[in-house]
Amino acid sequence: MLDQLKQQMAVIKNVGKTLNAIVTEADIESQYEQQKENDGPLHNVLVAVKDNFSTKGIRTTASSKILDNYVPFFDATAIEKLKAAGAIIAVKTSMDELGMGGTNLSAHTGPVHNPYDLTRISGGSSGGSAALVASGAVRFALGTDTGDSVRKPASYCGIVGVKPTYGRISRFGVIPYATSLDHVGYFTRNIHDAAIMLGVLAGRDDKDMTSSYQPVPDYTQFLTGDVSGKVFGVLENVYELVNEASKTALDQVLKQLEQQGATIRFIRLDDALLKAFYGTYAVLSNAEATTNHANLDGIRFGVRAEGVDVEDVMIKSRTQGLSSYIRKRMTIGGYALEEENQEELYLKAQKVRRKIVEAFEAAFEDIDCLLTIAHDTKPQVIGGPSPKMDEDHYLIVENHLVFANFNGYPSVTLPLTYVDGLPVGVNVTGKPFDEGSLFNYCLAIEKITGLKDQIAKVMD
Amino acid sequence: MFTLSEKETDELVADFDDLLVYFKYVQAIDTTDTLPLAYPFEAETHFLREDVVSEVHPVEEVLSHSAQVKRNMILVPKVVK
Repeated sequence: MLDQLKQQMAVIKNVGKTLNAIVTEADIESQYEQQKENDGPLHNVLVAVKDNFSTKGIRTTASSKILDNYVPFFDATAIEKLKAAGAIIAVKTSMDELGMGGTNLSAHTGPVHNPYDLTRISGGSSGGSAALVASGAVRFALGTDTGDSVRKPASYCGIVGVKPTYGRISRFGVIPYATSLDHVGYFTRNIHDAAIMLGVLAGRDDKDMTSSYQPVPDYTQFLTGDVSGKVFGVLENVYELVNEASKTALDQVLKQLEQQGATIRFIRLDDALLKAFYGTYAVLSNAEATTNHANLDGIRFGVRAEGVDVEDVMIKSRTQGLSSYIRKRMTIGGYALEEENQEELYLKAQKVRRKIVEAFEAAFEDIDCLLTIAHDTKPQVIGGPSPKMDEDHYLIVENHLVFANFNGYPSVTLPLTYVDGLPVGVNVTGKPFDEGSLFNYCLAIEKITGLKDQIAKVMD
Repeated sequence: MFTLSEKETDELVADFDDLLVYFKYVQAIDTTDTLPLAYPFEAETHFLREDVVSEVHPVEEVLSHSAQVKRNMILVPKVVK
């Protein structure tokens, strides 16, 4: 068995190199020895882990220069749970620096390549994890999702990306981005695996004050594929703006869901509210990130720069260790938190967040789940300009998935179709703590599209 | 606590302008009588734990992350000179 694992590890390393998806390789032999007697559901499964999960004895950088030398002495709860299920940590994967981005272009180790077109981005911030699952190198990978950082790269890479309900998976030991929006998520290539993985990862953890007491069911028991009597909502604001090929693919899915006894209901929300998503997110996430990352100062951990006094050490460590992009975002976050700006910026954003949450709460009174197209514009070419698009397209289509971070509802992206050879995902959002039903709706869609276990051939 | 170069400051000004463009859509939403929302759910997940030791990490392990350590303490440049 160890030989097989070593062979698979060699593939992961090779593919990872082509995709530039790996930050650190782990020692699988010692873990294999430790896991020998473990007959859990992930027994001897090699798993990739986003580099913002603390992993005992394995370097954890969050793709930031300031954490280049950080080797945690403890495991994040999600890692403990993976290990308890028999998994072996194979690699730590590249991400946008500190999770603050959606392209993976800001990673300290450079951009991650899309397995379907190596000239393009994987998406982010969980780009390395998404690319490795899509290439077939690993079956499962951990990610985190603050704005859409699991669900958007899943769409770009043609796989399943799960962001469960806020509080469903402990975030203890995860290097945070924005605490009120951060979720642990993960990638698989089919819905059945997605249901298995949540069973492994979910559950109350006293070390995370936002962790839920809700019991954890066997999520695979929900996978009947029966959707008769269920109401599938479609977010019309996004639907009407996406390209014809994606729309046609979604129409075919909707038609077949109807044939299976489901009802389709188009949901129209106020465009003005959708256009406010991005600004609300930018203020809240940057402000929270500024506070959360105040401890990255080179004193207690991380890379320390020389200085004449403590303050000088901190300033130089942060200036040299945090990229220009991150320092600019933190300046914006700090500005929003200034006493004189709080009412106009931070508190205003929190109030608009409530309006957004209430609008979706009302919409979900009439539906069981909500479908949207996860992305419309092709992933950016690495080294090329940001894709040009009009403001409506940018604000409504490309940034709408964040609503499920605002309201914490469980949300899954799975493959819908291919446009010009590149994958496009459908996003399905369900009701809080009802991931079982959500997986079942996704299974019905997976059966219709037939896009299960898709693998992008990266190497011969 | 960090510095920005002149070039970075200029870029920041442009970033701010972009943000303000997008923030106008936030300001356009009527939030009269709306309370701020900090977290998605209001379910109580806090608790007071028993005052018992649950986890122990050796001092050497904890200090191993710091660049400079002396006599079980993190060493920094002299504060009092």
